[in-house]
Amino acid sequence: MSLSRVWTILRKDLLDAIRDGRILAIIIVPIALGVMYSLIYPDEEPRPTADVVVVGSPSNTDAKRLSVALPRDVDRSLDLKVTYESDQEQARETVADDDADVAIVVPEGLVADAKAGRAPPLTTLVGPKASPTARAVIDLLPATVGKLADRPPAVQVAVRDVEPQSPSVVDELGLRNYFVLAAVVMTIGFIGLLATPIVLAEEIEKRTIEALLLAARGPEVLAAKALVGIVYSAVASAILLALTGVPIERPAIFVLGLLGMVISIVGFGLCLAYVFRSADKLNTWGWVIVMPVIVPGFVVGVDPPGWADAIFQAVPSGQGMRLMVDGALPEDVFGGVPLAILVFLVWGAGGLLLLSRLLQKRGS
Amino acid sequence: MTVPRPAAEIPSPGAPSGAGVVVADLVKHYGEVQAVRGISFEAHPGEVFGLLGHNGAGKTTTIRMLTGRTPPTSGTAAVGGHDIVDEREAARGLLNLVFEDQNLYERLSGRDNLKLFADLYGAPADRTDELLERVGIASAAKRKVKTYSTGMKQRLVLARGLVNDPQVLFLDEPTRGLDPMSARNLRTIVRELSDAGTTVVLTTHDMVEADELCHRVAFLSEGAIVALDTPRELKLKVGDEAGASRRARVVLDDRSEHTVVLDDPEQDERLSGWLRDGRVLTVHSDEPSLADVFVALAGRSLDEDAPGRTEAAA
Repeated sequence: MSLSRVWTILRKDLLDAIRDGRILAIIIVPIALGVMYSLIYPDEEPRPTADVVVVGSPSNTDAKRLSVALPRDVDRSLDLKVTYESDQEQARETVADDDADVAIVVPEGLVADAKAGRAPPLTTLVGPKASPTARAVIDLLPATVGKLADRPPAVQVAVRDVEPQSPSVVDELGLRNYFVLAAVVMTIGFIGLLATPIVLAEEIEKRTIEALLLAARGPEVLAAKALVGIVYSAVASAILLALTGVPIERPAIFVLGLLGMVISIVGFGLCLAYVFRSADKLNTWGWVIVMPVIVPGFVVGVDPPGWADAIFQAVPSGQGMRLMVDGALPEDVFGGVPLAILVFLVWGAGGLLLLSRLLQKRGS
Repeated sequence: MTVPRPAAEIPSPGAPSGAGVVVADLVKHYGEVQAVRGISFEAHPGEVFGLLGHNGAGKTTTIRMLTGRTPPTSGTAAVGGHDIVDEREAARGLLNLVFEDQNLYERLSGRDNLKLFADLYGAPADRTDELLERVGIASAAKRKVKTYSTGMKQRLVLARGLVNDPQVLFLDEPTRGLDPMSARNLRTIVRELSDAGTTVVLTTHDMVEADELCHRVAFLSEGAIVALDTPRELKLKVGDEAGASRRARVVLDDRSEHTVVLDDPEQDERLSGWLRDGRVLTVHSDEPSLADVFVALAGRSLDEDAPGRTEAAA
């Protein structure tokens, strides 16, 4: 393969395609939508918050004292909401459902034991997505109990993580950021499934590809066409992210999700060019195919039924969005990088192989 | 009036070994359809070789195989001394094709269209402007191709076919749809290429054009070559069989037209008399045209498609 010939064709396509009004609109519309989302949905309130459940029997006066003392001891800049719960199991479910960040189980005689210098055990149940503020509250417990007992050290704190039940991506990421990432998926879907195949379909329709295949090898032409989609998708996504300023905590995972989605969708999209073989037909019917391919990327924030989730996870946009969400946050919400890579490879390689076969069949 | 190329101008088959086009028993099947059925011919350096036939005769499929865009089912072919299957990459740089379709990038300028292919072939930087000048569209080089006339587009397609200075140039119906002036200019360039030693393989429906340009022609019918010779020999051969070669049509000063059989002494004397009296305005030989030859050989005119056949790769 001659990289020089690939670059020559790519350079021509990048310049030629952008002069086509259809392709320009396909690229600009999702970027504009993403910017609009970022303007409509304001930034999330940055003030730290934490929901704390204090657990103790109705007769446990120490628990009641602690629930009063904690908000007093935290800094005023924190938004701390403390509730009282007598049933430990109920408190556990509240944390598991993400309705509270942390539950503090207060044993009988806590303050008396602390005052006697026995360092009583104090159990905390931490939610799957406990905010940093909740962690700060836990760190504050020894001091608060110490004040109640009038002597340090007060307690030994044991932290037990609670397994997540249903991650709420939208809550974690913020509505604005979520919709901007969804717009990135839309941008990639439009470019990969509409703009890129239109570039190739026009070549087939007008038979300019015959002249190209006379001067270059089939795989070179194919590589150049795929690179058109990859370059346009990457540039358009970068523009959208720069305009909206979505924070990306872990760029490596984010870029893996974005590029994996781009490559696999572009590979699949190029096959559409040979299915429709007409830029106008593609511009009309391609939209029907775009929807099911990009929808899985939009719905990662909801909790779909198992069968639907399995389907969504088998689509590159679903996996791409999951990795982008994970990359935008400090910790994984979804994980599953190997599965994502597998899905990208199957779609991308499958599409490119199918297209390569089609080109060979045409005698390139 | 056509000006057939004299037989003496036919380039020697003893040209450098492996040059030009050598086709041996070439076959192409598309499923059940036999598009090309074992054709063989050679086209030598400097020769303009015509592939003539009706739609579906196998011309385009033959060109597709010779330009490496469709693999043959069986048989061999070499272009510029390189096998089109085993040495396709080597052959690719030695050949080029002037398409029948004006398949150009219409949003790009004429110069950008040529530059793209010049870069793909690794041609020198000044090749683009030189070719635009040669085909007469240098003044429109910066204009987008969509503003070009049909003739200008075809000239640009021709320039693209020359961008790699090919040893073998295939022309697929190059003058279809062109005005007479553009067609004449294109024929002039083809002659110049031939004189410079380029092998030109031409497919055309235009028998007048083939007669004027080609050193030799092959008639394709239903995927097979039914005749291969110089246009003159083919016409004489068919004319002899029809008895038409020794006839002349004479127009006299009173606008009357007469057919004279030249080997009839009585009619020969009659013609001599008209000539002596200065009454002859024009004399035309009554030999058959290439189109007549094709009808005689293929059994139908060029305007008729092959029955039950399509140009599979078209």
